[in-house]
Amino acid sequence: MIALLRSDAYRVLRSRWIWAVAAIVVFLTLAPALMMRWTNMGPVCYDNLTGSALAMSGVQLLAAALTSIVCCDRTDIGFARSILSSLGGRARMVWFAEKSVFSLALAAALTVLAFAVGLLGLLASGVPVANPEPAWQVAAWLGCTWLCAAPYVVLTVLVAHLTRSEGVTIAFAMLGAGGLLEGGLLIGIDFLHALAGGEFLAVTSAVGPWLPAEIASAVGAGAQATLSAENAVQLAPALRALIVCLPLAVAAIAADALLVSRRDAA
Amino acid sequence: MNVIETHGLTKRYRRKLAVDGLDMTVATGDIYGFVGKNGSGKSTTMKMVCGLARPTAGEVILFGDPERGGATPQGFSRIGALIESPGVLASLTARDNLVAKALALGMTHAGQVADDLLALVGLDPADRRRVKAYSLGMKQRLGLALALVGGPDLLLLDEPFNGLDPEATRAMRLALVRLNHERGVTIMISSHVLDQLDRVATRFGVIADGRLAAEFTDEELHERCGSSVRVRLAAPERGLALLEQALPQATFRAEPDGALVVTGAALGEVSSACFSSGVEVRELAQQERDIEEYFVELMGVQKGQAPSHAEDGEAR
Repeated sequence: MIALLRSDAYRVLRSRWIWAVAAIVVFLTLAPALMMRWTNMGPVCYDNLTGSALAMSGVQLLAAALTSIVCCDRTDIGFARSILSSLGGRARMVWFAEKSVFSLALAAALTVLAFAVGLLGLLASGVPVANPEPAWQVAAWLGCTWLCAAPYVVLTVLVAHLTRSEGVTIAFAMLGAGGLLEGGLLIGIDFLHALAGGEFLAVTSAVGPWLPAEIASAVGAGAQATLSAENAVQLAPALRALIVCLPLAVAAIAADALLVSRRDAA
Repeated sequence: MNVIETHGLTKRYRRKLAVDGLDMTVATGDIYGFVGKNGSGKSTTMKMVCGLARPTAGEVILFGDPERGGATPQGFSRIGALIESPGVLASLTARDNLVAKALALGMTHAGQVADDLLALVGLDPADRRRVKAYSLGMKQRLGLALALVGGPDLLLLDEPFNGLDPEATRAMRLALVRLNHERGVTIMISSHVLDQLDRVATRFGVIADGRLAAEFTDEELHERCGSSVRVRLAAPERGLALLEQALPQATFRAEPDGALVVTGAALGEVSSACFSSGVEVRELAQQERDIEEYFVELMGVQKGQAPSHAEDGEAR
């Protein structure tokens, strides 16, 4: 596993696109901050650090997109086949699990990068923060942000290995991490429910708060909202992330390593 | 010891039977030429041997070890494979491709391994171009280098001469012979470039419709493709019966134009036999048999049908 992680880290760090993505993240964060400083058109003061000064809502979308690029080396024809042909049976299973672990590590690195660059942007903008949260709350919030990205990242890996199609994987990453797949599915179920005589949007209101996209949105509101149970389901988004996102990610990794790895690789 | 043994190896893709009960052996030190028409099951067999595809039935025994398929205790296979396409990371340099694979196999000094392999296949370790700028021939050579990472004992190469110019073909051929002689690597090569295969292979297997049609050594191949006598008779059927009686040691093959090709008998013997039979001879000539023609004939053999000139034990 460690050898495979080192290999993936090497090939990603030697690729140009990863640096292009990092540069885009830095530019999109710092440019508005510097514009604020020079034009004095920004807010006078931020209420708090997380959710107000630092918005991390795009992290899971970006993480899923990066994962789709990393894992779209088609296993049936690409470099992966060269590696897989040099691995024994059990090591092949590890190869599949490693892709998920590497993608989660990439998502964690992206979360930390976005946070660090966001802090730099905050300093560059010169806008003060009225009530910055304690460090442990910020750390918990960052962890939850990563946890909310985890199911999308791992499901993207699963889709990449199942379909071996770059187009399908990227489309899934964009639609899935953007919450469109979950929203569309719920609307569809609600529509059928309404056709069967039920109340329209009843399913959405019942199930919605438990969907990863909805949990990610709640986490995006800031550290205090993430840890607070004062919401419609009376359960903190951090706990909902642990209840929903963690098992979903683990199940997707297990399916990939135990089931998809048994398919013909070429 | 046999490096590869397959018993009743079968692969079915939905309705298509790609490999049908294949029994094949490749011994240590062989350069095994695997020949067959497009779609005959060559690549599928190679994929099953290196574990990229699972057999529908039958088994592959590698290095005489049915339990772990010849894998090392660390879980690495002793096989290097280049199947169908080079399988390279186009956005990286050739050296980076090799370092990435060496790291994946847990090798120390990955950079040194990469430089050595690039030199072995005739690529420049200092070339900073991305692989996407490479010609097909260069990608093939890089694919071979990738297959050699980890020092495999068995190398599976599917169409390694594809896209190579004559100089690169020669370099590839020499590299394979060197690997076989100096490092003792057993090599299984499938190729349509029969004259190249003929120059390197020590044994041949011919696959037709997913079944092994014939297996023979290079000495046997050259014996069979030696000189023969072409004879065209006014009454071919009667003439064949009389010639078979007169020349029991010879083998006979009918040509599309009705002529007979006789191997295992000298021109004089055939001439005497024809004269004795009393059948009018319209043409009689000595000819050298083309290896390609021989393979084409074997590849055309349908299931359960032996080639017309097959010697005992040749058809399987």
